[in-house]
Amino acid sequence: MTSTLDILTSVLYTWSSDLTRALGENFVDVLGWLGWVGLGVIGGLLAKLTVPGGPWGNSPDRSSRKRFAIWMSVYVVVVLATSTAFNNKIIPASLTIPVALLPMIPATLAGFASLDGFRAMDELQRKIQSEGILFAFFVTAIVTFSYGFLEVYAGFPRQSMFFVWAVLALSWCAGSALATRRYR
Amino acid sequence: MKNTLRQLRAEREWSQAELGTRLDVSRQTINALEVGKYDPSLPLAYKIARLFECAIEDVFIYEG
Repeated sequence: MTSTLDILTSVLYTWSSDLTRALGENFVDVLGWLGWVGLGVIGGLLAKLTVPGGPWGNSPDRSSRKRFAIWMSVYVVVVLATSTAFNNKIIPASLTIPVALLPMIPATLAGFASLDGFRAMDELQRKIQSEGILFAFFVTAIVTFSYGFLEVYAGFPRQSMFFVWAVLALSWCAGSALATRRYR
Repeated sequence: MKNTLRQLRAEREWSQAELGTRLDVSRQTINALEVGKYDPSLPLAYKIARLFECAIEDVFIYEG
């Protein structure tokens, strides 16, 4: 007799296999875009809805917001450029690693800008964001480890590392929304 | 901890946003303080008391 757990496992396995197959070789590119651009936009919008003033709150610190937007735009351009370069096979083998990591320079600078934005928040907004991030930390740990064990012991298909950020971003939004409700 | 923030603000006819601007915090923070969902840090409590020209004990009533 098939148990509920068997059905659930089967559905999850099929979904995971289909996703990997559907995305094929573009899996990394697609998740990269989803992770940084798509989820960034969705996350920003969700945070805007859940935290007054958005991820930066109502702080007058507009410079960090502007810097974040600039570096994320640069990131998108660099991802497009490196992706095109790799697809056209114009990158010499010796430069593969540095060029592949090139988008991480603007991404790191965007990260520093968001850190400055966090520091400019008032004490309650920082508390809300801290609770949201802690929630995201636990959810990401549970989801990624659960899937990791399923990969190792149940033969689930390997997923990209981009998967981690997708879970983190979505659970950060959910965590921030939950924390915001607590102080409403 | 209870507080008289809403009453003090009403006496001056300030909006939550206006009080937030004066204290350099968000409107959301003012609302959370007024409904008692959030207790401020000591520096913010001092700032509030100074703005309303009264003692901290006049704004915040500890019920522990």
